Amino acid sequence: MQKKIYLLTKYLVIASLLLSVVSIYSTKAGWGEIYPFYFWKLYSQPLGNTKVVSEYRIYAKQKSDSAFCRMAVKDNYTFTVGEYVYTLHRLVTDYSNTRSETNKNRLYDFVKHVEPEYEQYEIIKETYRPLEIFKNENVYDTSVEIIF
Amino acid sequence: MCMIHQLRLFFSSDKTKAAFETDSVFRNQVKNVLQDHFIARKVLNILTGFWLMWILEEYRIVMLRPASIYIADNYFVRLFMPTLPCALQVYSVIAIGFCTVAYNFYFSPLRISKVILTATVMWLNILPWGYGFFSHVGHVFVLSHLLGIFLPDVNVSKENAAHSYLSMQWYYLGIVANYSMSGIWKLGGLIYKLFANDGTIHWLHPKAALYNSIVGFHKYDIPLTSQFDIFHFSWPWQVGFLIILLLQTFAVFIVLFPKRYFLFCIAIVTMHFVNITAFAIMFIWQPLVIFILFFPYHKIFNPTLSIENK
Repeated sequence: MQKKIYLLTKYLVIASLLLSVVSIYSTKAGWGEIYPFYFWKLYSQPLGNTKVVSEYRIYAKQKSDSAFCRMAVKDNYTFTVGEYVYTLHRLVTDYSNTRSETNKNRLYDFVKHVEPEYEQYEIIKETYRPLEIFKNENVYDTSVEIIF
Repeated sequence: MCMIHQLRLFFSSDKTKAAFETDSVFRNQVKNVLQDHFIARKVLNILTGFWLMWILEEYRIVMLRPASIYIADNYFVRLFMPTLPCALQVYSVIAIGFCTVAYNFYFSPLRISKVILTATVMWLNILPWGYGFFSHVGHVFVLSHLLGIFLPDVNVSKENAAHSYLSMQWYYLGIVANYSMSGIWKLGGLIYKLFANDGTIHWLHPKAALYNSIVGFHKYDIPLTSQFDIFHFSWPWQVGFLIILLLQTFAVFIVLFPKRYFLFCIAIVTMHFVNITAFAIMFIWQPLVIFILFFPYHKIFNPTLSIENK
């Protein structure tokens, strides 16, 4: 009996590995990740390896203000900084890929939720060179992605 | 014991059984692995209790977010949690999780209770996935339950000791294969970049660690301050990367050397600690799981395991 059970663990691990390999292929082929517990391709290159990096940030203002202000990423009551960054990035990417009203509304819901005290918002793509921003944190290019 | 011999044993249950009966050193190794593993599973159960408390808090917070921003990303999520579940569903599943954790802790876990706990953990872990994260968040923790369903959790008979030992080796292989896959991607990426010579920063570039750190911290708008003095010399980071590359790529071979589990465990936990402090790469549950699974409990507690003569 024990031998059969040992084989079950062995086959479970092998199946898990195989599903992972299939997942690598299916993700690459655009079918999505069919097995979410193994496929792990993080930091295969250092961050910023192309020497130019882009991040999305929320800019906001009241209607009466003349200019938008940059909203730094910060711990919010319902989002840690990590959750904030990943959710914002994902929602902006979803909207940029589809340009659908639904995705724009979802992004607006998020922006309004994390920065509720403002009336007008922009999502800005900030592009910077790591070694430059290391010397001066204000050296980056901006381009408007979305205006609400 | 040499690697070839350990490999032979790993792939042949008959040879493992024969070695267990004839070789007292190997028999001792098997006993230590079995005992450590039984304790590790209990500690993992306690960790799961804390994880359930964290999920409870996470769900309370998630409920305060706009419902529209929940993202059902991969097939698994779309199948089991296409929209944010109602409070009754989540709290019921968490309650089942707590009951199963308590049962598995106080009693010898039944296979069905392990299946229920695995299903509970897998389902609840979707919650942190629903907000733009990669699905890898918590995946080693989930795997530590999923791959352990068929493992024995109590003293085993002498007859079954060899097979129990082998199942545990496969279990550990399943867990650490994550690191090997990650290492293989890094190795492939490094070789490609070294040959491509396209002017980008590869992992052995003198400024690779500095780039990685600047972008990692700036992503969260954490001020880039004097902490970056640690990158003044590049060679320790280049050597460190090579050590991590070897550690990750060949991680699966650790299952052949149970006596080195603790060294492996320290190396992995150190790697995660450096990642958190120097690069803002936040893995919390994963190093905890590795620490719990690979800790040599038999060196602290008196050996209590008896392999029974059934």
